[in-house]
Amino acid sequence: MKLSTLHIILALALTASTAVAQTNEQRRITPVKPNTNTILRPAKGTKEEVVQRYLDGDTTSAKEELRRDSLRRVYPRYPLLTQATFGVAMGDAIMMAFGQKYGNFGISASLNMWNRLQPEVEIGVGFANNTPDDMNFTYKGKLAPYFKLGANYNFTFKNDPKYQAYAGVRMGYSTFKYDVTDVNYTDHYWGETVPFELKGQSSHALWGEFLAGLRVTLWRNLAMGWQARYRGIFSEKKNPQAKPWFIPGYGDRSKSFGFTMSIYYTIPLSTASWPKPAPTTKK
Amino acid sequence: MIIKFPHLAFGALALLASAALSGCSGDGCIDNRSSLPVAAFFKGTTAVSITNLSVRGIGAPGDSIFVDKQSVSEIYLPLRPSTDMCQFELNYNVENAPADTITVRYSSQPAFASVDCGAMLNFEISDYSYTRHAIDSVALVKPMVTNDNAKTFRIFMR
Repeated sequence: MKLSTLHIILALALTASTAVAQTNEQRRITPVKPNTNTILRPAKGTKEEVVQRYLDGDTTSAKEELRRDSLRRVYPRYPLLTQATFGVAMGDAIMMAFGQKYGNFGISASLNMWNRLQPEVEIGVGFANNTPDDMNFTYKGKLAPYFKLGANYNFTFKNDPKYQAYAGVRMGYSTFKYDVTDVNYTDHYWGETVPFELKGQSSHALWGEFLAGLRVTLWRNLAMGWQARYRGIFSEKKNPQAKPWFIPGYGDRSKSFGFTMSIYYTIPLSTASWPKPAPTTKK
Repeated sequence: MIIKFPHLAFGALALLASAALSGCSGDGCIDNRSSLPVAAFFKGTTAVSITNLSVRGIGAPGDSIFVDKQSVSEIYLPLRPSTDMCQFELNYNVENAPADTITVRYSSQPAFASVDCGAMLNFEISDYSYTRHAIDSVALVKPMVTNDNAKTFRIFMR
């Protein structure tokens, strides 16, 4: 009895092991192929030392260096002090040659920081002398100083600072005097003409400007710039007897838009820290 | 790669120049080029028009009239620049209806309004009087006469 039971158990165990063996034979086998022999080729233009790291098998640090190099190309970082720029406003000299009755002549100094932010100061003088056709007066704005403080933001900060497209803000202030002379007031109904003058008028004004501008290097460190300005007066000394027409640094007070042109001399700073231009691939 | 864009710059420059030039036209004179008192006619609280009205300044050269038998709801009264008083005669051109006279006393003040409106004399009215044939009363609304279009007098008719 015991022997027959043992035979039965052995027979079952043999059957089970045979079944397991058959199952193992049916399993899908996916061979694992290590890619240790794959060659990762560095991108074109990669520095020689980085290529050498690849060849030495130090691919991790080479990849990291490549990533940093790629970021530097996409986001080139200019130093804190990139340029110092000095400008002379020339636009009104040209406009006066074409008949404009007032002029603002100023100089500016700005600091290009990271090739993005450019704080700027402008100082200058303005004057006016206007006897409009078919009108009864002469307006004389005496030579008076103006002062502006503000900053530009260079939208083309990734590019060479030789070419800039920027927007900016300014706050301006001027205190000035003016005369209205040679007035002949005529009342046609009563048939009378009364001459008079308004001399020694004075006022001061504080205003703000939004501007958009372009600067293009013409030759070596010389550049030319153009700016369109939108202006508004924040406060001024009220003068009901004779409202000022011309504000030094602002121009014709009845016009919100203005256009200025300047010549600039630029001094590059910290040039050793400027991003290097990427090598061009020869075809 | 560092991008140079002189062509883009000069194209944008042309746009900026045209934008700037568009702001070069003068605003023009939106007010008057002289300071004139405006008198509006009322009956009670209602603005009215007076028909067949003639108005002249007494002592004007050639006795010229500046409202000639017209239907008007308001009139400009030009003040004489060389004096401090002037009178205006309102003739209703109706039989047996005598004319009214308004007398205005004032001082003149030189003023420069703007380049477009020019220089002119403003007036500050110090006193006024009137006859009461067809006029019931006259109210001085704004003593300072400038080149704006604000009403100076309200003439209340009977």
